[in-house]
Amino acid sequence: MIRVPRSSFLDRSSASLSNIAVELAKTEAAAVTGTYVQHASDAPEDIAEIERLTASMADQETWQDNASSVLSLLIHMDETLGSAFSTLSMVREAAVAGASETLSDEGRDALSTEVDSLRDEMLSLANTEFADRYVFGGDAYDVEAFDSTGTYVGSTEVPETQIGRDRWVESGLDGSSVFQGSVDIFTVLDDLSTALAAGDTASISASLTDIDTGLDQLSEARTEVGVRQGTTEDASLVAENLGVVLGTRISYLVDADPVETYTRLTALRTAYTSALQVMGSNSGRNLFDFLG
Amino acid sequence: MGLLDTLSVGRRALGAASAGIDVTSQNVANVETAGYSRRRLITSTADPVYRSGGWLGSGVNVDGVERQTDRFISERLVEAAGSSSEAATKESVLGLAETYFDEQSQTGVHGSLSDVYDALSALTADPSDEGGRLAAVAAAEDFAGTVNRVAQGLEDGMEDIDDGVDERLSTINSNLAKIAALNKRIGKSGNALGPADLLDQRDQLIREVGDLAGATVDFSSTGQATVFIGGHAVVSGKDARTLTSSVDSSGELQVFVDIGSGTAKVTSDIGGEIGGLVGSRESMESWLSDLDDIVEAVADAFNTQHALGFDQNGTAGGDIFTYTSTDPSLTIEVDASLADDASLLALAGASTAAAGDDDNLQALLDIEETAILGGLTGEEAISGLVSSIGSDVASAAADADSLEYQLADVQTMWDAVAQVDLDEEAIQLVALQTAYTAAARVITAADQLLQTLMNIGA
Repeated sequence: MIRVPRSSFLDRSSASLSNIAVELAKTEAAAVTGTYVQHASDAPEDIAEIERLTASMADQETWQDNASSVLSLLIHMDETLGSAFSTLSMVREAAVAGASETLSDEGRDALSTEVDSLRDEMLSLANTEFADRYVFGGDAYDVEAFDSTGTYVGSTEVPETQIGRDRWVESGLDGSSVFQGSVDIFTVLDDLSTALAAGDTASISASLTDIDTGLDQLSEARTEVGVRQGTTEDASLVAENLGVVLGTRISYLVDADPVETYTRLTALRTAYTSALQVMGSNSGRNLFDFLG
Repeated sequence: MGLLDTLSVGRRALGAASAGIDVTSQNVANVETAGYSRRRLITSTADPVYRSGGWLGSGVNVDGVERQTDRFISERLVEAAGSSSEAATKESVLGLAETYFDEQSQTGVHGSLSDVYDALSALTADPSDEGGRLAAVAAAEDFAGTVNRVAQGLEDGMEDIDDGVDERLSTINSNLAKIAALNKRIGKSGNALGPADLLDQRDQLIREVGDLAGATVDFSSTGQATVFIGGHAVVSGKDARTLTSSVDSSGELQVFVDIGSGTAKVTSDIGGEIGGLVGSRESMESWLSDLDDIVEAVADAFNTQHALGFDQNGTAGGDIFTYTSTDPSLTIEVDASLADDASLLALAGASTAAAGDDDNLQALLDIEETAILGGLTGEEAISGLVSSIGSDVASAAADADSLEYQLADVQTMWDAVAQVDLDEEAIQLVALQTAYTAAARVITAADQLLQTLMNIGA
């Protein structure tokens, strides 16, 4: 039988107590913070994944913000294109009315004036600003897209915004392709106004074809914007869902299981208290206390 | 046997009991003295004498005081203490160094680089947005600042280690000289067991050297101790050698032992706290070197791409990050001009620099997915480094736990042989008191008998 001196026993007990205290401190930290992984060494095999997932979650938030910003822009563009379509439709009505042989010259003059007004409105719509951006100026959106003569001074390059990993959405339109594609809507309106003022019914009738082409241009642009809206909403939803999935996975890797943590905490506290009691009951007693 | 012989036996018994009580009291007095080995009185039966046709006992001899120890266990204890303290030191130092990285939070190196990409990504919504540009520059500054903080922490930690090694070497050299001096005094005693107190003092000093430098010891049959560090005998008989340290030209800490004709490098063989410190320093150097490589690769990738773009003035981009090639992590910062003027961010692909031209911004974002160092992206390289750091620290902690248990086992074996036990001493004291009383009774009885003889015929 090995000889175990009392002080040796106390030294071992003290070391055990110290080890329990260290474990207790770690478990209490996990219980308080709710996090099992305080340092890389707590989960060296998982830390790379935790970092990647955490960064990816931040990416999703950024892309959701970007998508939200682009979506507002696209909605405004859609509304603007809708207004432009309505305006051009009104021009078409004026053209149809003006082409009528029964309309008086005064009537055509009035229509000419109305078309001039609608042209100004169309130019204003083409130079629409949203969040300090001229939405039809391409990527040169810090200056008006069209000058007062209807000449496009924007850029034919379209800005792109990131809304996902390798996923980008065009967040502007090249105004020249919208308003000056197959037909130059402003020229059509100018020519129509002139024809109305001149009572040139043949030219007025002929303008209807160009107006219809212009309406098609606006419809196509609106369709394109609608597609982008769908893409953006889809990307935003993906980012949101992915954020939840990533959060769940991070939580699985990092978070302390409450039941397990509190169970372990209770066990360690009991062990610590017991060890203290054992040490306390032994440390101060020896045979000398009982000798007369 | 005559009454005078009886008196003599009683006197010897009284002396032996008295000496035993002295030894017990010494044990009790040193119960908490570090390195004290309990003593035992060695007695033997005195040579018998021939009286009246027969051999009669002549009492007890006190042969000496024996120091209770075990040479093998003592040698093993020094080794185990050195291994344990090396691992514990490494666990403690690397655990502290790990906190510099603070990678669990998004404020670490990985998180701050990720923030740079996020800020750039947010800028794609409007590359001309001044707030967004300022945020991107701030994110780049935060990345550089985070790297600086980590690198400075590691540098400071390594300087502390250098100082710590020097302090410990000073203690070791002092202890080695004392051990040699004690060897000399023990040798002069002419007794293989030597004076117990001197042996205790010397062995305690050896254990301290073991703790500090992972020494091994060889106790000779003549009571002399030869102490080895890194395979070199640093104490041999009455001779002691000294240890020194210095940082070499490549920045690595080296430890040397004086071998008379010069010095011998023992850096890779030294153990104990110094071994733990040296090992930790090597790990920290390796971490810093890896961080330097990553930082250099990231900074170069950004600078190269940035130079291909154009800022809001239509000017080709300058550097985003500046650093000195000798200490990239310590010195990296955002270019001073860019830090003052976010319009210098070259996000456009053309010199016309349209407000929404983000061609170069997209190319800068592509860096996040580009292998820039050993087939890894910047973030992957950082994660790899952090993972490696976590493994180093976890491994050090596991080693420390394991070696602590091993040390406890050896210590228990040493305690079983050498540690004073008060209960045992109390029992011994009772026995010796009883023996003393009995011896006194023998003397009293012999005295009374002598008195009786003296009174015959009186």
